[in-house]
Amino acid sequence: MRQFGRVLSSVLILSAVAITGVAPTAGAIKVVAATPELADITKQIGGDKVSVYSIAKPNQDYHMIEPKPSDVARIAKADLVVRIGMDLDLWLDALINASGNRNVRRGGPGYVDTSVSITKLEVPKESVTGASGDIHVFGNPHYFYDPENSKFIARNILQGLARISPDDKSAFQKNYDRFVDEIDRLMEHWRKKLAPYKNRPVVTYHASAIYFLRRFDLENFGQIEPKPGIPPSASHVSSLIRRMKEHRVQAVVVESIYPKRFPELISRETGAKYVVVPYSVGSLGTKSYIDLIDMWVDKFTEALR
Amino acid sequence: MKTKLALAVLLCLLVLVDGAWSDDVSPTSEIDELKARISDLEQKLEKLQEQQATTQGSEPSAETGSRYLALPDISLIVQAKGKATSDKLDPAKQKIQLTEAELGIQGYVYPNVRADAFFAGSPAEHQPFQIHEAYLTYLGVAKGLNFTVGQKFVPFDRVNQLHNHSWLYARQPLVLTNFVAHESLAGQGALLSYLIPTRSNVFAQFDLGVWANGTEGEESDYPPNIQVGPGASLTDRFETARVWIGIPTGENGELEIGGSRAGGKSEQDPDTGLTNYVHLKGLDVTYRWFGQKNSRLLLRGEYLWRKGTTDSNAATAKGYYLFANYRFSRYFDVGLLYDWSQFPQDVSQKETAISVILTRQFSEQYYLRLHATRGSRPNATSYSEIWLHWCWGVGPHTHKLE
Repeated sequence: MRQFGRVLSSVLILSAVAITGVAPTAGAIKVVAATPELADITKQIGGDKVSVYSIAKPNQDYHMIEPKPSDVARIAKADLVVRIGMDLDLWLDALINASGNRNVRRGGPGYVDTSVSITKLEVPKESVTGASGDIHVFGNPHYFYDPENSKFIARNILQGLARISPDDKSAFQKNYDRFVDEIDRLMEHWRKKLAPYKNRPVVTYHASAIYFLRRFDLENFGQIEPKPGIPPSASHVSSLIRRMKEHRVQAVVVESIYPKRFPELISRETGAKYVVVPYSVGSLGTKSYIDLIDMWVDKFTEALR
Repeated sequence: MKTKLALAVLLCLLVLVDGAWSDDVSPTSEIDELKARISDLEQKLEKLQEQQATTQGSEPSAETGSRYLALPDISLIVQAKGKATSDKLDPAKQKIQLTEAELGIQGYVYPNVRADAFFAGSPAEHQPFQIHEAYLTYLGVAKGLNFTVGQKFVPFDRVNQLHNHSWLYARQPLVLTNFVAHESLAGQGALLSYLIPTRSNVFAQFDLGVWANGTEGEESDYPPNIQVGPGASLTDRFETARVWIGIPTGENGELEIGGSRAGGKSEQDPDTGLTNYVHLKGLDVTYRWFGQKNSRLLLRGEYLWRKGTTDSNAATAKGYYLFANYRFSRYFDVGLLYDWSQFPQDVSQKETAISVILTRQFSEQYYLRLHATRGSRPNATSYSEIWLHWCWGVGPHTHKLE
């Protein structure tokens, strides 16, 4: 029992050291975002009035985030929680519940679901079962790869920030306007870059590029995964190779979190160009959401050229 | 006819001239008018979006517990295990059995009040479906405070609250079986979970529970010839307390330290008339590191002490386990488990084991696991076991922070 006492004292001392650590930026609106993309857009809108933390780290699969206890501590202190929604970040609910912070619960003033107002794609029209793979019942949740959708995301965040800090609304509005202008300006450039490849078919690993492909008039030829979240099988890959050869598909674009083995095999067998795109802000050296989309456009251009 | 034509031409000219005049004289006013209309529309859009944002709570999702039909989340998780063992007396030897089916019903009964119920049965153990957990959680009663009432797996040690389908092994560490419960220690009562405010981003939670009718979950699937500890024996009233601390170590790592205590008594033994007063203490340390592309390293160790008034001359039994798990892709993880445990009924005896575990995760709801063990038990020769463990589920199923 004395041993236990000694161990418990050590735990308490350690806790005391940890608990009295350095305080975060004083006065700033504390925002916890589900992913690095949402964190970056929140920084764009909130400017120096916000301190933002992303639970998912660059190059971590958003379907498989394993929440940490310290994430609960951050949410307990957060003024605003920004999530992707559409059941992609279901892991966030356990954290919000454990935090005991009512303000950031669904429907609370500090709760932002950035999928609001997004036109959802691939919404299931039939019963969803395990046979469909890891299908999301509210549609494909990778809407943030479409730069036009970033304006809706930004608008949802703007409204959330304005609810939390109404005095700063005009500053947030200015940042929002600047962000939207920047996206509009770049959209012209991005469209021009991809215009020569209109309706060209592309193969991706997971169905995460659907919104991007639609925005830039590219054809989603198929995925290396036979169904969302299901690892590639030999029969599916060989069938994909055969179909790609028949239709002369020349581009294989793979998000940076997925294995290279099958894309390399497909590229070798079909002669299609294989490129890797960043999965998240922070992957492959990207520093912002705009960097991310910029690299997507560059990589798609490279693959389709 | 000519007159009519002339009039029509004249009218057209007038209209054109009028249009030209208006174009010439009022572009600014028209722009202003359009701007005003845009501003009006923007304001309307903003109002509508604000309304939409405030009604987000009604959007159906798994978290709200209602899909489109106001149904709760209903799920079924089933586990089957095949066992090959060198122990010739083991009745589960060379058999594949349905070890558990768990039905979960989860949802909200009121804003900020969540209901969870889990029923489980084990055909392999001839156990009918019974309530494993059924509890109500009041979320955010006060800042950082949640209150739970009902029957649930109590917060003792790092893993007692985990359902066995969330374990990273096919059979739990031996010290937990011997000291705590054959599966998970459950009780009926109330629990306060308080998130201690901290200045930095350190997580510190304190759980305090008062319980009655402690049950020990599913009965052991260990054969009768194998000596197993009695579990917590807290079959009457008992209390639990746990401090759980999570300290971020850089961007991708987290160190967790926990200390737990449970104390109470067993029901009176009808044969001896004795009541066992039991004290259980535990210390756990976990380190998790998250790498690129779904990789994750988990290192965990737990040390437990158990003292019962009627056990082994009231001596304190000790035991621990060390566990490492590495997930190298979304589809595979590999683990190593080392067990060392005394027996509360006789602290002079102990058992040890070492296991290698490989898991193939096919999807979020389906995995297959191989668990190979080499161990030694008291009064027996060393044994080897291989478990093949299937786990599959249907329907939305969520748990608290694990």
